[in-house]
Amino acid sequence: MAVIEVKKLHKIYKTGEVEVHAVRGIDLQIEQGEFTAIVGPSGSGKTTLLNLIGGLDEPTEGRVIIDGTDITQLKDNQLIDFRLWNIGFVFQAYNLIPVLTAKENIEFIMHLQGKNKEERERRALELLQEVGLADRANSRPSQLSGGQQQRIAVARALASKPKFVLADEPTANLDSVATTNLLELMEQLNREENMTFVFATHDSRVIEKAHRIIRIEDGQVVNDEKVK
Amino acid sequence: MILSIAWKNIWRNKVRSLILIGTIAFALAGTIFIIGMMDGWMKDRNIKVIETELAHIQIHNPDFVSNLSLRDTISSGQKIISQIMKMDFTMAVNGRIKVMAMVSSSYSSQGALVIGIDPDRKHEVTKVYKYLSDSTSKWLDQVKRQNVVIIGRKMAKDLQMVNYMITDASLSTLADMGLPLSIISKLDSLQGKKFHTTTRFYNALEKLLTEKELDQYADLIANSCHSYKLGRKIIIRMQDINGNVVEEAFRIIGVYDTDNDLFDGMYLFVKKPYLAGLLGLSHGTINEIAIITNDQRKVEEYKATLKQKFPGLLIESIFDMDPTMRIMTSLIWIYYAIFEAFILFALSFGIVNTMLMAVMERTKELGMLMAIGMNRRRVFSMIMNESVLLTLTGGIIGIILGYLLVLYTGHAGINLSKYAQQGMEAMGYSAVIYPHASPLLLAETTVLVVITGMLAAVYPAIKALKLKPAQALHTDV
Ligand SMILES: Nc1ncnc2c1ncn2[C@@H]1O[C@H](COP(=O)(O)OP(=O)(O)OP(=O)(O)O)[C@@H](O)[C@H]1O
Ligand SMILES: [Mg+2]
Repeated sequence: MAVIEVKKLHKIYKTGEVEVHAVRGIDLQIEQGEFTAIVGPSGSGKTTLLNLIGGLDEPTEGRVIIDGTDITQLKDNQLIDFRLWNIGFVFQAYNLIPVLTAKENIEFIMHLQGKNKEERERRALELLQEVGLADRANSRPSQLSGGQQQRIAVARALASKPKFVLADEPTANLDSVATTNLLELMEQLNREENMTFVFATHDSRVIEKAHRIIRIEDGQVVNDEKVK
Repeated sequence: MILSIAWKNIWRNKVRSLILIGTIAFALAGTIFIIGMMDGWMKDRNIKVIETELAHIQIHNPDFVSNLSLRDTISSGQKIISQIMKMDFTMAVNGRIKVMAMVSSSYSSQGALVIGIDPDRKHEVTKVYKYLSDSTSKWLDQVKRQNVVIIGRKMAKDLQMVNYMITDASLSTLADMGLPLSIISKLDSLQGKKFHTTTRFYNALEKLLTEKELDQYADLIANSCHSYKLGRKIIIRMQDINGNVVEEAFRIIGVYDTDNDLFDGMYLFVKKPYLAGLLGLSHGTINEIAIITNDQRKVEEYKATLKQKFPGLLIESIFDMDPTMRIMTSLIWIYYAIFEAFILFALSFGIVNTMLMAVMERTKELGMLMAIGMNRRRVFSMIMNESVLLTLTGGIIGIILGYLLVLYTGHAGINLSKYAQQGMEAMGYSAVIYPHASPLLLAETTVLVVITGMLAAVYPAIKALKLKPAQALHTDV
């Protein structure tokens, strides 16, 4: 069974009289362990699609089934809880709570899950090790570079042990070295822990690393191919 | 963790938070101080009224109150007293003789209430001896002689039992109290002259000062250079038990001052056995019983117990005798709470504003938090915590500052006599205020501060909850 299953998905934004048909009937399956890029020109609907998959937005039509659960049927509060336990998020920016240290940021999501202090600390340190920032555990986000912040965000996304990680333009604010580093980190996590990653991007350096590339234009899938 | 995040969030915009904390602290320090002043004032009056005049509970023959006749005594009064003495709530109980009289000096005469009390201060409920005006005044138990009387400051003045003499010392006291030098130099010519009546002294002042100066300073000057004519005699005229007029000269051995003109101008204190003899009352006869209980707030309860036990007698609590006491004891807390509520209401606008700004500028962060799985209850509680912590920080600082101010001034006293001695004492309030803040007031204030912080957070928190994570994350701030 696919971990993400999208069926006849539509999203129409209404602003006053104007209707924007951002997603027009997308069908999609993503299997456990995939390393998938959603690519396409600006305004093509990448963010919209990712938000729908992540339960951050409601579709106008169609279904999003995550690991057998139709999340379009969930109530608001159930959806928040579902995200907490099942989906990891890495955003382009504003991923971290500025008043908490790197380690505390990773712990925070486990705190929301009700994990005890001991477990939280152990896993946070483990993840800091994995993303190569063990020495920055006590730094605040403002004391970290953009690339380091995104690594912490990846660690935070993994901390909740999600079924997959959604990343919307995670490298948009990074230079090429940091971009390569972050991509290598995600790829390594995908390889070693079989973690599923789905990321939206139009950065060619990122696209190169993807194992599957889903190209969308005008809210529709125009190409879908396995490259590795 | 949410609490610690909330606390750290407060300090993200230090200046803004400090301004709000400062405002709250300042307003609350002032509030505590003003309430402390009022409370000190009330407490002072409350204690005085209890100690000098009313005690907690008084018992009379029901007929006494309407007739004020000596015949309406409390029958077997001593037996009743010893029964009351045995009751759990009784701290002190005492029988008195109260009788209407005319008093006269060689200058004037007036009506008065003569109270015959136990000369021994240890046995007496009435604590007027605490209010003796100065060290030359004596109490009834310091004098062997029987026909002696303690009168009030107001009556001493009315009966012209006061001498006035301006001296170097009194002038320098006046200068210390802020009397303008121009007036002090005008008073110089009166130095060393002794005036035997209030009228003559005021006449002399009138010649020296303008009308405005007189209005403002005459009482202050008079108070600083007067002395009582202790040892002089006044005549007290009363009706005895048989309706015959008895007249007796009493030597003034002391003058008391409770800052209450109504009381000080009316009540005389004499030795009970001697008074009983004069009036032809048999030994141990009394027409008033005064009781001090262990808890003023439970006085009504105690009154009911006494009523059940002594059904034939008129039993009145301090609240019956002086209705303002009820206000001061129980209702005053409501008044204080309303006063504080107004201040806090005004402050809440600032809190709402600050919290609203805090929420708005964190739109993206809140969107992120909701996206990763922070539920509404937690978001709400984070903002609530932030608001309460912010408010409480200011509140606690303000309460501590206000309390320190109350402690300091409560010790030193605030002297308002320069502005309004006459008016306040005519109403029964002291012109010197010793602010006082009870733990209850501080606790009440803290609770109100927390409630304010919570209420002020509701609107900003609702704003935060309305955010949709997808949009919030893409909002430009
Ligand atoms: N909240 C919204 N309200 C109205 N229209 C929206 C909203 N969000 C997105 N759109 C529109 O939907 C379409 C798809 O937008 P989307 O953000 O998904 O594109 P994108 O592929 O992520 O673009 P980019 O590469 O620039 O991030 C665009 O035309 C956009 O203007
Ligand atoms: Mg986008």
